[in-house]
Amino acid sequence: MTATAPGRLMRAAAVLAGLGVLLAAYLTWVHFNTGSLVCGLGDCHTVQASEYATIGPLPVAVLGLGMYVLVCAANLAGLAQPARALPLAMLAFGMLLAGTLYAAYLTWLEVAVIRAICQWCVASALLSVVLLALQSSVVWKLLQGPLSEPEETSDGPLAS
Amino acid sequence: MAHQSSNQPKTSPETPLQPRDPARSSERRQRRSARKTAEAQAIKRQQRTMLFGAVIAAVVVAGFLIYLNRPQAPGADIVVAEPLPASIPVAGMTMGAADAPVKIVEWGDYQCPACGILARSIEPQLVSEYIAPGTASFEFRNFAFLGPESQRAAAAAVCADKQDAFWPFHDTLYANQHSENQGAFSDERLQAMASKLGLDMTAFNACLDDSATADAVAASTAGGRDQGINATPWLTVNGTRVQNWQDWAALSAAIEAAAR
Repeated sequence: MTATAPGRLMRAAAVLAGLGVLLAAYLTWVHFNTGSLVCGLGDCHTVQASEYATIGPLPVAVLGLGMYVLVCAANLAGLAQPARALPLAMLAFGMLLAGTLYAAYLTWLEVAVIRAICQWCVASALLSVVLLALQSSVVWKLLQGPLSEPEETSDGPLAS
Repeated sequence: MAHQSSNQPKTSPETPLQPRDPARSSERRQRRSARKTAEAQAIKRQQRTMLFGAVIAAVVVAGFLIYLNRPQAPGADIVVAEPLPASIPVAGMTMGAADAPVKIVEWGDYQCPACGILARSIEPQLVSEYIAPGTASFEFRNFAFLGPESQRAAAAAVCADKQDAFWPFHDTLYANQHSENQGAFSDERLQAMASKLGLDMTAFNACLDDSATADAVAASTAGGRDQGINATPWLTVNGTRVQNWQDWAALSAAIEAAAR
């Protein structure tokens, strides 16, 4: 039972990261949708039109999209290749930690500097916090013992 | 094979069956166990190093991104916008002929980047193609909703209007747009803009400090809200909103249609 716990957590992380992909894809669409080039009252447009919405030519939403895609891929790859689950989980953890710290900064920018709250950006920031907690659990469990297939018993080859 | 066999140490056939020395066997077991423990410890150390590395890398990456995206105070330089052609008639916050068949109205905020794009990219084209020939007039209305510097910049534009310098000040504000509420439109910079445009600074400062000016801006913004405005730039052509104003062909078509 304990041996399959990281597997379940990794599946949950992959699903949540998939949700993040949809969220970040929407924010990317808002950014590039020139028909929405306005500063709106309390919606995402003001934030997306702000100069903080890009780093050089790269929209911040695209960075988020990349993070969620990689976190989802790392968890799925870890499930497919249990021998590499730990380094992949640590990679996802590192990306999520960076992403969450940056998302916290962006939320501060929204409140203190841009003075507009993009509800989808805040949702993405909260999702990254939940994902970080989940991914930390995955790493912790994998450090306790390697990942085994759900069908394997604790004395199976992968659990040894 | 025969040669190899001859090199092998000669042992009696009974050797494997002889009982092992228990002391040496235990020692071997202990050594194997110690080696396994050392290997396990090395793996744990490696994993801890990986985790530590991931944390450090994450903090460095996040720090770098934050550094690249930090709020920056505006530079000391003030850019003065190109003045409107002298042939363009101006009446307060409206430019263009009073009897122009097309009335273009913009509700805008001086800190809104999209309004900045409109002012810097679309307005010059509007001026040359529709306002100068007398087809359209263009009115700006304050909708200052992006924080204190939006309200202060709008108030300063109202003060410039009192000295018949609304449009040079309006265009100069948009030429000096920067991070929201980070000092681009501080009183000092607004005064520097007014000074560079040659305004009477005593009158300008008195107007800027007058609470009636702030009230006028607040009233304009409230009026916009009452009309359902919830975003800037809110551009209308003869009362009909043009949302895709940044598409010159679409904006031009709306003006041409209104002119017919």
